Amino acid sequence: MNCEHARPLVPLYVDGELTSVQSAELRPHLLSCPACRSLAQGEQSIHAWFVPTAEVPVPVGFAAHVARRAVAGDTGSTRPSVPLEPSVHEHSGPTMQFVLHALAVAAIALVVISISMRRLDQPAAEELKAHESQALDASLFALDQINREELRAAKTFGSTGAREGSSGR
Amino acid sequence: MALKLVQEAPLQDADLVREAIAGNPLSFQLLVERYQGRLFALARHYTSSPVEVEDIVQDTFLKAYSRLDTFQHQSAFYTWLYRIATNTVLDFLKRRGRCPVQAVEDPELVGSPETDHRIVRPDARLERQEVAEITHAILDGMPEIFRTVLVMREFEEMAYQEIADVLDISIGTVESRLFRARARFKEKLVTQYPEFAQGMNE
Repeated sequence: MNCEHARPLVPLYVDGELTSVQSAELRPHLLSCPACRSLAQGEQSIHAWFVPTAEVPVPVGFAAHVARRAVAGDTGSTRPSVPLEPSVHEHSGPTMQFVLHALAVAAIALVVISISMRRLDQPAAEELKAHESQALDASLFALDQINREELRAAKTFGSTGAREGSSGR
Repeated sequence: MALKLVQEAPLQDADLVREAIAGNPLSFQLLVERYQGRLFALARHYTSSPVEVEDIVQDTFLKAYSRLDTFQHQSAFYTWLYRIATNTVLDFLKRRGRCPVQAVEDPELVGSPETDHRIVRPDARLERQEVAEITHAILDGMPEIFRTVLVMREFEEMAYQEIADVLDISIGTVESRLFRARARFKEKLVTQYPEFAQGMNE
């Protein structure tokens, strides 16, 4: 046997994976060839690094606890690697659909109202003067207040509607 | 060691599996008792946290029970269980931000196979625990594809055929993966702990 044939067999020899015939063929070569012998010793030296670690004791009653959970239908952790946001479809019962529709209608109404109010309150371009910017800020603030109140009212309406919707089922 | 166990108890395991499927919870509890110690030791190679070790082992048994009827009795029960444990560990590592398929078997990832990183045995002055800590620190930094085979071969002392069965790969792949895994282990050991390099300047 020459080095070319021996080298791929060395790890298998060290791991005890060769047949007795193959081992018997390789052994004389390892004895006569310092390079292949050194390779075998290098492979063996790695084993010494894998020593048993300190044991983690099995908690008392672990088997009974696991068996109980298993029989109760627990199939183990199936947590996804990235927590998923709950899908809208998962909650899209009639109640949730009603709330969503009500909110959509309220949002559209708000946009229309706020645009029309802004138009009413806005001064014409020729009337707009620098000293009026404070008054404009105040009217925008007031508009914001109205918007917030309407949004709150719409939400209240939505939840009332949701309750009505659910009681009607 | 694993082979010995497989040879001694396949029928008994098979009986317990059949009884568990038939609805006897005690049979499954006996299977858990039989293999819990080995799975705790296995999980310990992937995390040093006792809580995480317990979680991994518990998940393994729960998954095993839920799929008990898919056990074909063609392999030993422990081989089947070990496969579930390995997948559970890989899922766990993935959740922790590790990527099990990070390394395909690209020779460049482990340097040239001709590179001879000779290492010495652990210094006799090192405590066993220190040796274990160095080894696990290196394993922690290795791609799972290599770490898994090293754990199976070096800690679990599994035969190539058993590793092939668990990972569902050929024996040839086990050989090449182990070869590369050891090369990577030596390379990291020599890089991170140069005091354990032997003959590097010769």
